[in-house]
Amino acid sequence: MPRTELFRTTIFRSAALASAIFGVTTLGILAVVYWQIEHFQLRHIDLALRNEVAVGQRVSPALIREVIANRYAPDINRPSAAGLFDPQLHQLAGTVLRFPAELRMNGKTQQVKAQINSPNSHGVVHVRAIATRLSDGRVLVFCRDAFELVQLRQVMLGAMALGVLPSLLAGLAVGALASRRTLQRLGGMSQTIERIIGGDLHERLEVASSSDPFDQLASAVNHMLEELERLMEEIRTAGDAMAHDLRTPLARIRAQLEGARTRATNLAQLAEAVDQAISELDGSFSMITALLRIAQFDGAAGLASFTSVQLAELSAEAMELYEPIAEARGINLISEVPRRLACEGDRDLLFEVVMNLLDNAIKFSPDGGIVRITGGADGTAPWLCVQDQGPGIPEEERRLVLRRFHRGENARGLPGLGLGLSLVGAILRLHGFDLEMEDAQPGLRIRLRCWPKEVAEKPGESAPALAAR
Amino acid sequence: MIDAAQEMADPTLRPRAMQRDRVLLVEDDPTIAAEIAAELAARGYVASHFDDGLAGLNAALSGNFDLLIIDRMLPGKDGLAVISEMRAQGCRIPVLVMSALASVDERVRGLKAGGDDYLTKPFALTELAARVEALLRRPADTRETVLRVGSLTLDLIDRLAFRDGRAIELLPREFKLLEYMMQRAGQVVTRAMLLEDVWHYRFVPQTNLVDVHMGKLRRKVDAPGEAPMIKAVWGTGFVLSATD
Repeated sequence: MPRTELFRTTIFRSAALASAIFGVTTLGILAVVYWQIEHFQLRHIDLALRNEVAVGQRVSPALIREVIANRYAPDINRPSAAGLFDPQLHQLAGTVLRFPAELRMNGKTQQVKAQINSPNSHGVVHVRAIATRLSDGRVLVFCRDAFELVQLRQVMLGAMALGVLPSLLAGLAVGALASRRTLQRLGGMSQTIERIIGGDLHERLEVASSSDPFDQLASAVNHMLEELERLMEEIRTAGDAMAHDLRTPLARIRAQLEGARTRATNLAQLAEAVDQAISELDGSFSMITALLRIAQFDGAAGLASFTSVQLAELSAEAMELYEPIAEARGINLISEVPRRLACEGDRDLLFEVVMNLLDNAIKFSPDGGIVRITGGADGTAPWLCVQDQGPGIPEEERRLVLRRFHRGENARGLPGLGLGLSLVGAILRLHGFDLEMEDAQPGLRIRLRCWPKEVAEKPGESAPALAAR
Repeated sequence: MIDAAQEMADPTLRPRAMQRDRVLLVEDDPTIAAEIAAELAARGYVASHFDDGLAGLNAALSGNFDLLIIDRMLPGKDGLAVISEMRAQGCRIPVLVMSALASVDERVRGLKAGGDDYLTKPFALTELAARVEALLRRPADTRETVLRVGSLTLDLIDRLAFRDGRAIELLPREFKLLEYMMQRAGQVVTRAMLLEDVWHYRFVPQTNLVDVHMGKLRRKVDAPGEAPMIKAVWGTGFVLSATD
């Protein structure tokens, strides 16, 4: 892999960052240590200087010159240098050869440059100095070379270089190694993914035995690929079914029109053929609309804006709509839905579901029969039930209907239930709701279970045990 | 030319009075445009056709038209953009939006952009014609509390209906239905219009719901022996008119 990529990975950057932080911290610690020691040393020096000043001030003016000259002769053992100056600041005695220009005579220690004659320091050096004016106007200066401090500083710098730099490099090296391993792993993964994209959906990512993030990711991706494979298989079969459902009416239209063209002998017959064709086309368009809506619902999980839907209201509206039809056939519509029964959902879509169920119930109900809508709740999950006294659906077929319904297959071959049930299925999948069918003896009872969002895992996966049944 | 026989068969084919309504059609599909133009002409409207959004917008802003029928997918300028622009410029003519996009969201978008009605393709030409007529003859916002059509009276406050002094018992929905028909007296009302405006139901159910409800209403309004005021128009819908 290219060199630059090695240094662009997150892991390398993290390692570099960690090393940098560690390095900076260590440097910081060492700096603090140095600073403390320097401070301590300076205080020590300053204290010594102030003592010497105090001592010097106690010596009688007559003797001071001698004391300075003798006690502060150039001596390798004596850390301090001293100087006695006349009021005009000419040197009278001592190892401080010239009065340091910046030195103020305020009895406080300062850092200045001074010219000193001593074995330890020659020429102009940085010293810690203190000056005081004696009672006769002469000036006494004491200095101490910060030699030890300079040495300390060098030791510290050495330690820093010796300690911090290698560890920094080690950190970067580890980062680079880890980065390389990551890139190798990723490289392997992307190659596999390329093959999958190329069309080989059976491929899976390699999962090593460790449970590091890569393996977790690989497992998740494999799971996703399995789902994808399953869905594509479903789409393939659904696609075949859909193609059949769409082509059949169009084939019919073509046959009818062609037949009419060949065999019609008058305008009326042609007009009839045209009318039939229009009618079939309208049917096809309804199917296309329904299929598009179903596709839209299946893809819109989570996007629908749900509100609280009053189920009693919904069933009352549906019943009101079907009242005349029921009345015309002597069918009794009864609603026993508790007043406060509510669920979370899209009101218009759920209304469509109830309409569909009621439509079927009335369609299959015998004249003079009863169609009953009831409602209740199992814990937090409300349910709505539509019951008719019609011929019902045999158990095996019920299972078939529900299986297809749960898988979202088109409702071809579902006698009399048409595309309506597929649409109902899509709407219910969107909500995470379920449909159950029971033998009402006689008749059919369809129960709509409105699982609240926390119970339904995700739209498309039914909650308790239904697809299995 | 419209002859008497045709007029009797289809009450919507009324010759227009002095001033003919001018309809602007903006549709890029030549086949559909030709069919719509022919239908409009047959019904006595003066139709002008443009197949480009920008040209359509300019035409609309010219102020020479009473109604706009516009497709959404257009070259030059998108249909909804044309409508928004029109409205922004103060043009208030009624707009009928046509589109293959059928979802509720798309319909809402169309109406929000400034459209007054929304038809999804494919639609029956009679449906289009009925809606065009409805838009051109929109019931005025009157403060009338009593509607009168011929011998039919509807009291909107007391919720009572009478025909020639005979009280008519109506359920709430039937009352709304009758009110809707009376507000559009003389115009053909399609099943789709009724489902949308009276029942607020977008997707047409398979069963003949509207017919059954309308049948019940007709039996109540048109008692045996009385001249029928509510008539079915084959292939289109229903119309309520005074029996003169």
